[in-house]
Amino acid sequence: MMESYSEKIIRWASQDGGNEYVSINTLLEYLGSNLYHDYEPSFGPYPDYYSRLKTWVENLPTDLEQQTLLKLAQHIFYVGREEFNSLYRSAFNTHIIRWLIEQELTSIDDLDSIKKIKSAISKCWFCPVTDSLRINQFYHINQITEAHHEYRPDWRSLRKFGDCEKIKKYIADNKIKYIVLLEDFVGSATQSWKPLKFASELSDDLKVLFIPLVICPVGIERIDKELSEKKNFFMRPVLVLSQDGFISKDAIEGESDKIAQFRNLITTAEPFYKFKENVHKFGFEDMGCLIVMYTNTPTNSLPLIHYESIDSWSPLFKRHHRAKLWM
Amino acid sequence: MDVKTNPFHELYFTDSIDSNEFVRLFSDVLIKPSLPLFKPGNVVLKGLPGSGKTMMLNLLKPSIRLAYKRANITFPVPKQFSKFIGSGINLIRSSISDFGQRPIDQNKKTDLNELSIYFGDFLNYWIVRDILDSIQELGESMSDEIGINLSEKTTRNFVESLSNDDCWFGYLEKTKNLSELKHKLRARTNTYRSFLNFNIEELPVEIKESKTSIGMPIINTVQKLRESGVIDYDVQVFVRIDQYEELTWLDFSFPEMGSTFQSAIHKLLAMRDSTVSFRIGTRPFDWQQGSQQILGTSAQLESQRNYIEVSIDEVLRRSESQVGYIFPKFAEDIFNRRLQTFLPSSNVESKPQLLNEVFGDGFSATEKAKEIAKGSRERIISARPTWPESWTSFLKNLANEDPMSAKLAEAWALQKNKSSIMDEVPINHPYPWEEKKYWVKERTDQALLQIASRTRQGIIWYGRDDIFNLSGGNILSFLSLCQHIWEVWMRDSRHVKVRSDLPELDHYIQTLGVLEASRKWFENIGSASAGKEIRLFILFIGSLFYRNLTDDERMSYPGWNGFSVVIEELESNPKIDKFLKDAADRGYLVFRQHTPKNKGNVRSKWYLNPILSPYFKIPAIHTKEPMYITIQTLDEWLTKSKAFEFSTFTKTKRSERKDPGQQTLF
Amino acid sequence: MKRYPANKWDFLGCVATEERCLSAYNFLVSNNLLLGATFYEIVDPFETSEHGQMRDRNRSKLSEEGIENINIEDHKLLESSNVIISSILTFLSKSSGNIILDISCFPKRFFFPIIKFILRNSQLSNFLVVYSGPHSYSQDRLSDNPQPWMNIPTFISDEEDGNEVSIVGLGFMPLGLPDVLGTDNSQGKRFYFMFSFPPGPPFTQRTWAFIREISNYRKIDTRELIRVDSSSLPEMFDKIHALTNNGLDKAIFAPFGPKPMSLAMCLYACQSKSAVYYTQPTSYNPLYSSGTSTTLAYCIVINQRNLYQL
Repeated sequence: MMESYSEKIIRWASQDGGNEYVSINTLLEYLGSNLYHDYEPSFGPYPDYYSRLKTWVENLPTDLEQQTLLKLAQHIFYVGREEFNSLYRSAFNTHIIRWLIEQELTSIDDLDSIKKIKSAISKCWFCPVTDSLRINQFYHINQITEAHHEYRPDWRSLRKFGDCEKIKKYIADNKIKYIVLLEDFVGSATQSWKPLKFASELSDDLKVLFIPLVICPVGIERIDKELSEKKNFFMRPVLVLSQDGFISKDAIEGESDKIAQFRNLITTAEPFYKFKENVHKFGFEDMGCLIVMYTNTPTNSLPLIHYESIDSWSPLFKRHHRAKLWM
Repeated sequence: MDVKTNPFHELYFTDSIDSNEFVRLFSDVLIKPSLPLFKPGNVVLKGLPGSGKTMMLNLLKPSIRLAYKRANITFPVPKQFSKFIGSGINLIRSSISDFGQRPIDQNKKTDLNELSIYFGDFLNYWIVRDILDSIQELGESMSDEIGINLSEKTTRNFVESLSNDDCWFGYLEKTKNLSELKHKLRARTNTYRSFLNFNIEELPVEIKESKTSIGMPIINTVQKLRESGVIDYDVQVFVRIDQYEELTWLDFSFPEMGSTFQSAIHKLLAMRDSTVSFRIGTRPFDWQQGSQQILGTSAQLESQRNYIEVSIDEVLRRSESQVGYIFPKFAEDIFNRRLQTFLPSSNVESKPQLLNEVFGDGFSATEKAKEIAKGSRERIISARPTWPESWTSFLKNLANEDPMSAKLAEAWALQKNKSSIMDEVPINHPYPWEEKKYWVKERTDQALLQIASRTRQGIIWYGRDDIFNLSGGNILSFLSLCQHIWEVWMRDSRHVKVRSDLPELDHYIQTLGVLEASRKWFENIGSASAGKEIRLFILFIGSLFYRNLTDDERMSYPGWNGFSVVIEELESNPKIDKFLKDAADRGYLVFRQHTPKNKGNVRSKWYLNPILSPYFKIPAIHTKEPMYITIQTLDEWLTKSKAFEFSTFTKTKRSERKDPGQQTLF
Repeated sequence: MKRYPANKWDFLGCVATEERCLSAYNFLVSNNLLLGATFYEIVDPFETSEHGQMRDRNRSKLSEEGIENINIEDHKLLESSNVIISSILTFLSKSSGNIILDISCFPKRFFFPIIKFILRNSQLSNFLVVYSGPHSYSQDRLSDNPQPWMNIPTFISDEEDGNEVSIVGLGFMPLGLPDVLGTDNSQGKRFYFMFSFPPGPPFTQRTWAFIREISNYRKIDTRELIRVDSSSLPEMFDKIHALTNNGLDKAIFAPFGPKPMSLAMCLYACQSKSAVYYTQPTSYNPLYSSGTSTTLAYCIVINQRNLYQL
């Protein structure tokens, strides 16, 4: 008779250091009930997180591989709905306001500071870079009333389909001084830098502030590089993913044995999640992200988290694919 | 059956719980052994954390008494002892322990004697106010039952009499009524708190000049309550003193401040005035006979003379003869009540053996061994090249049929003077070792441990008896085990339609729940005071005990999941002595006194709390003799584990040199 | 600092085992912004020789790189409130009225009353609180051996009646908190748990492990988890105000978690005279953290105007 999941954990607990698996298992079960339940691609008739975890761990045959998957599950960085709400508030209160202060105020004890900041907000046009950023949510969470804009287009689409003259006219008519572009997640920024450049090139008098809610360091580097000459472009990331948010393809000096173990697993387990040629086992551009957002899992994240194949692999957080959408 | 509710989710093991739920959850099994709590006379109630001590003291609270009345449930204290008023003080939460954080007079050096007077004064005012609050609270709906009369006449007489009493040095004079009296009492303690909070510069002169002597105002108050008729003469007044042991923290702020304040509390007990009776809850070693100095004297409190000791742990502990072992009844009752309260659909009223029904009878040792070693049973035998082929073959065949017997056989043959069996392989049952019932009984758990180790499987924890063994007579441990096992069952049953009234807890569910509870218990060690060092020591000896038992192929030392040290040696080393007792007081180590097999000095036995056994994969029960060690070895363990930075003997750190290894065990 | 009206400051910090204890000081010295500096060197009751050695190392760096007017005071973690208060009053009596307090390595038992008395000082003109986050925290236990649940010195409230809303910061080490959550009718009380987000990993995972630990003692409703950006003091202060029904409800605080969050609670408690409870650890991991990430400065008082008033 096949060993049940509980039997497995009990057996693992009997090994040296095995109590760790009991601890990880109870923690993940708790997270499943209290954090991961808002993962949108798994709404509807789909197993809950804990059921998916048990199946996911058993994707691989050996104890060591299964234990490694269980440990890896603990390292996933989940950004849920409430987390995003906090990021929206942080984006506005901590980053945008602070930047506006830098633009408009010369002294910290200016008695007209509040009036000046409200005026500055009214000159902002808050828009998303792509349609994955829920711009309405950003407005509602922050109760932004000073900046009234019926049109909040995503600038990726605007760049493709927009008319520059119409855009400039709208900006002039609405006395917009600052274009504030937000994005939920930026990986390598391979595509996202283009709308940013497009916005920056509209006018040298217009300042463009880019606020990625979550961004990878390579994304920052890419954007800095592509927009280095644009003096009217500014970037203020809300959350920059630290090294703890990745399993890099190459070893990094000083990394723990656990990370090396994860890397080894990703490489050796590949036959089990039989990828197509052009999909990398460390994710898009080999970034090796551990991030999962409540809206979806980005392609930059490790495929073994989201890959789905009836024959060979059950995902932990399945991904909803949008054809040819890479970030 | 509702799979979403865990009836053990909240453990309710500390100060107080919701009164309405208390009345449903409280078990009266402990009432009879704790009856002195409800009789006149001072009582020191000793118990480990989670023993039920706090639950018993809660019965003295007015809010609990009223909750019984509201719920129309008979108060569990026998009627002849239930005419009492309960009141008290929490020494930390009331801020009384903040005396000493600020000198009364900034220009003078801290004077402990003076501070202890202010301490006593605060305590008097607080307790008197609390007594009056309790009387009013109970008087609203229980005046006849308890014997309270709050008429205008009685209260007027009382207030007049009390406020003019000399013990207040005039502070309460001209008080017109009960409300004003309580206001003045509260105002004084609030003024103290305000001063200690640095909200006012100085204590008012009228406070400084009217300090009361600890205990006297309390006694006078209760006397006058009786004389004026506010309470009947046969109504007892009990005063709880909570968090007495935490006063020792104050010694860090100022040397001996904590112990001075404790000696002020001792003075209350020394008064031996049956007008008022004090109750102190304490941990077993924290309160040792002969160490309670009375403030202002060289005398010490004496048990039986100044107070009666009631030990909850001794009441609940399993004795050698099992006589008087009431824990199973206690646990059964609590379990029953939990299900009745939180899962009324479980219909448990008519189920007297509920624990058996839910947890099952468990497995016999033979069944357990078969379950642990499901596949590759031959691995349980560690054959040596010197063994005859016939013996090895016999063992392996036996292992496939009866792994427990095979394991015992292996050890049997390695015993002194038993090796001839290898040449004369037995053919029929009963085999020689199977006839030695006591020998087998003593080694059963060790055999299971070795079987699990060799087959790389986990030990099984299953059934009512295992749950009791792991609980070690502690209700908190028991509830914690129930909580985690239930949690695992809920997890597994989420998508299953459960038809029966009660959950079906198979051995996997119970084992996994036990492992989770054990892990949590271990992780929590560092969260208590002095926890860091205790945790390191327990980690060391837990691993040591596991190695002892797995490496002992002859099973000569099945009791080596504990250690024994001569009491005299231990007491000659105050630092180590205190360390072990602190660990025992916090419930991480279990202490037993014993007389060794061979005549010799009296020794003390020390084991891990049984609930830690699953974490370290060692047996929960204690059998035969533990490891006999010297104080020097114990010192070595403490430094090796890093619980102590320096040896108590050499005063040097344990070096980082290669360790020559454990002392030879065999 | 360039935009600040004041340009010379008196500094109060804490010499500890961690590297970050000197980060803010070094910046201020190199930008010639200090008039004088006072450091507390705080010894824990349960510490090893390693603690002393690491503090000595940082202490000697002070003498190498610092300004002339520097004073190092010896303190004990559990010393009486009176000693702490006397010390801060002495500091204030000699200060210019422009004060920078570095809370990075100060135990909460110290910086709470320090801030209270700084804000009470009538000569105070400008007050900044700085905090240097570490590059990383130790993966081992950060602290142990907590005191019982008790008021932080000088944060007792006379008006507790059991109806307060309890606001608890979430951190990595729930020392003693589980005991409290199972007591005093906590089951019926209103609780909010402030969850620091951002930052992201690895802090998020450790905070969830904290929540899991305490949930065994009291069921935590996910609606009780309040995510806040723990680098934004105004956000946290405003959130606390909202959680108390805009100040209509009384609160008690339990400042576990990151120090900027504790700072928000401290400022609010000073204004509202709320009680603050804590289980002060008495043993700290000497390798508590390594390195420094960002140093943040929070303006509390500008030209005698307290920005955090109710």
